[in-house]
Amino acid sequence: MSSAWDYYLTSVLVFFAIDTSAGLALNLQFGIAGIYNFGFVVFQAIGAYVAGVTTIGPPVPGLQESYILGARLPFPIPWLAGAAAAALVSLPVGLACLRRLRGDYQAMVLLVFALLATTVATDATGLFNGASGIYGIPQPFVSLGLSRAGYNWAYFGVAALIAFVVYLGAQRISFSPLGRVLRSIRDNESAAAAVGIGVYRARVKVFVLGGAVAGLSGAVMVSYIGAWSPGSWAYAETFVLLSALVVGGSGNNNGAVLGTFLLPVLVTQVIGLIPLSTADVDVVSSLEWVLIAAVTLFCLWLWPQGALPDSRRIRKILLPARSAVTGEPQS
Amino acid sequence: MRTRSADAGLVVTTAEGAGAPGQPASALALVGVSAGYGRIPIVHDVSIEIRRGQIVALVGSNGSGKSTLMKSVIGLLPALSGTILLAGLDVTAAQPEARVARGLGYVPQVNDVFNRLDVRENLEMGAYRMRRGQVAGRIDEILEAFPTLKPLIRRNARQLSGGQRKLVAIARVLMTSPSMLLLDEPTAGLAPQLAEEILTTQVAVLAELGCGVLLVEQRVAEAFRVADHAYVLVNGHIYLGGRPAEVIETPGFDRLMLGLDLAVPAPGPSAAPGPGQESAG
Amino acid sequence: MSTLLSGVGFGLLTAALLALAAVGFTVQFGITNLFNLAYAQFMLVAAYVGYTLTNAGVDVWVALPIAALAVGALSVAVNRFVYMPFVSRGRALFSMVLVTVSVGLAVEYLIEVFAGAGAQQILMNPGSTWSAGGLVLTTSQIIIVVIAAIAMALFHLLLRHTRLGKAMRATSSDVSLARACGIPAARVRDVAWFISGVMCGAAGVVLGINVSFDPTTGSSYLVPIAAAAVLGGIGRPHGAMLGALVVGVGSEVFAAITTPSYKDVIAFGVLLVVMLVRPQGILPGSLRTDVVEP
Ligand SMILES: Nc1ncnc2c1ncn2[C@@H]1O[C@H](COP(=O)(O)OP(=O)(O)OP(=O)(O)O)[C@@H](O)[C@H]1O
Ligand SMILES: [Mg+2]
Repeated sequence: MSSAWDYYLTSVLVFFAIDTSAGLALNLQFGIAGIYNFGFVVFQAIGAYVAGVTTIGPPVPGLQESYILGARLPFPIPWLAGAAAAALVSLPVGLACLRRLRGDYQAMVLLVFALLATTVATDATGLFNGASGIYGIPQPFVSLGLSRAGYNWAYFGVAALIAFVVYLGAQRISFSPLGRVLRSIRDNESAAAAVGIGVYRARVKVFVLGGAVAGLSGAVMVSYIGAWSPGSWAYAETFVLLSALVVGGSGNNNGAVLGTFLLPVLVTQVIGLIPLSTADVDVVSSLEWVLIAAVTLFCLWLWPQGALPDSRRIRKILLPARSAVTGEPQS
Repeated sequence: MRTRSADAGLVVTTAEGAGAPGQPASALALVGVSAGYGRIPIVHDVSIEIRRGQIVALVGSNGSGKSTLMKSVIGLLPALSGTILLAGLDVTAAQPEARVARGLGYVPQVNDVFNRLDVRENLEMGAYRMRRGQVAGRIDEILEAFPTLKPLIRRNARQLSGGQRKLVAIARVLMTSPSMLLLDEPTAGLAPQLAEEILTTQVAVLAELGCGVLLVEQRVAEAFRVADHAYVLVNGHIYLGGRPAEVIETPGFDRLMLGLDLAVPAPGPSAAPGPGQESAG
Repeated sequence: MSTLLSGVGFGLLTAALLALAAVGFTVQFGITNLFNLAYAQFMLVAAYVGYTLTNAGVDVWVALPIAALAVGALSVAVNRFVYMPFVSRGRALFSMVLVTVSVGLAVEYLIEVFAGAGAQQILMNPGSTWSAGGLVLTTSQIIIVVIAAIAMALFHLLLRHTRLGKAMRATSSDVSLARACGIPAARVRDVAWFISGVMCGAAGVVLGINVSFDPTTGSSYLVPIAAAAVLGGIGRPHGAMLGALVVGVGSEVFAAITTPSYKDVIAFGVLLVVMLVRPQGILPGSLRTDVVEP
């Protein structure tokens, strides 16, 4: 195995591990609790930014950079800070968005929130250095003195360990009483609404928990790639993860893992392997998004429950009072 | 199932005027109709025929499927099996708007007015299929028949009381002078006096003018007083059918009205009285 | 003072754009009970059609209606051949959000494939400048404001005084009841989507005249559009007109006296506050029961 190939493979594995954590977190919110969190990527971005600025140190005078918090903290702290910051922001957002409103209304507000966050991060240059973002973020394990591929393997090990822990946690929540409550909301929102404040609390809880994991995944990402800017986290990035859940089977943690492997990893990499002249690169990367959108529509049409359906899905009994809506599809 | 459809063919030919002289034509015939909200039927194998000028009462306990049957007759729910004939014409697959165009009128049990329209606009929507020039005149006529609506004409339907809404809904369905009327608990929420008046004057007069009426009612006594024929629906099955006076005298009628099956199954002929039986009578 | 007035001037222009856009958005919600989150991308299609036409030498006032009609047709087609099939296939209401976002994303990146990622602007002769005590507008900007005002007036007349308009309101109020009254709901829905698509398209061309745009511009416009529609009570066209005026003028005035880049923050603030305090919008009247859980 050539070392270039080794390097390529390991970097794909690192991305897969990071996406898996993120996918599992989103699965908790979307797949199990039924929250269309179109703002998911914002929480990843917060984690990434905070981890970045607490690793990189204060802005170098004369470089025309400005960002908050500039500090140089030792390894695990920036990651934890990223996760904590994302959780901190998701609390008010969750409290505001998950109240009373019907699901698609929430989805719209969260999407709008994601769009706005990009604008703010770009325009508020004092926050995270605006459109240029932060870059040159030191990598955490360089002191180990590994080869490039060796470093990747080590990094993959760490990211995979995190993903595994997230998986265990997600499984645990998924089959806990909380998971049952959340599923019942997802499958029968109007009846669950009658349950009242407990339901609201349960949803805010997974929203914040998911936000923390999102932040952590962003932190792991930024420490690996070393730079972060508004271009790294367009609202569409959330969509890839949502599509992954739809394809893999939302509500099922194994489905979430499968989905993140199939969509963000496999499809992207396969397309990346197509030899292209530079002129075509933009077109192909645009078409990649079109392809993901098309795959999502296709799967929603044919297999809305995904490759690995959630076995605990509660059959919909109460249907929306609309003549055109005939009810939940057969599994 | 198939044989029932064949029966239907016979019914149609007799109903379309070619049959017995003096027999009013069929306004609506249901032949073995099953309906429900997904693929599982809630009403099963219902066969009812209503002739022009006839009032047929349909009673049954809460949840027995009366409203479900009405929705499938108007076409808001698909019939899962069976045939629906409107004035002899098969409309089983037709859209609701097509059925309305053929003279069917429907007053739903709930959500019976357009909340965001005022009373006058509600009435205009009832006349959606009428020629534009005639609408204003028809509204005036209707207001003569429902004088209580006159002062409310510009009021938003959302602001009306339950009884007023019901009146608007009834007035709206009468805008086009339908030839077959489906009334799902038209007197629910009305004062007893008004309810009585609606049933004995409005509905009865309509029938005298040749309209067929399928009437779902909780007020069994009042409904049976005006009805020519009555059916009892239990758990989605027609259990009893006949002249109202006979139906109400049938032993176990009270139990059926509570949604309880009779200990002994109802005798064969009345278990599912087909239209054939009725036209023979 | 003069910055404030210039803010009002540009605010009127923004309000004109938002009014067209938000009314279309709210009508689509009202008639089909779904948030068309691809709406902003439809707007952008119109901007690109307008841009292409004016580049080919077509006068901008001719290009505007052509682009608007094209997007009207596009939205009917998308509703009929994508959204409605999903709805009647029985997908729960909530996964429709995913469907509309998918469509929006596909449109956004298809635009990028065909038009490239670079920024464009519809160039036109702005005409002479008119000023009234610090409030400065060009002739073309005045024309835009007038067009939007006329469009709103016509739409109001349609809704209040024509049978079609009343049928649209009835269908939006209760589809089943509308059908039971003999209203051909599917056709009414198509007409409503066409009209709203035309407004969306007109707004898109105005966007292309006002600012330079690239394929991602559309999505950022969803913020003020949603704010205006929600402020007026989602599904209520008159509310959306009012909401557009408040959000448009408010955000531009705010931008004029503070930092221009934060006008969307105002819009989002409006959205959040309304959602938390008065989800039925600012107009009197009850809320759509289906927006807020019981
Ligand atoms: N929208 C719906 N989706 C699924 N099931 C429904 C729906 N509406 C009613 N049902 C079920 O259909 C059955 C029959 O209901 P229906 O409304 O037809 O009864 P009904 O005889 O009209 O009762 P009532 O006297 O209370 O009006 C009930 O078991 C009810 O739970
Ligand atoms: Mg009923």
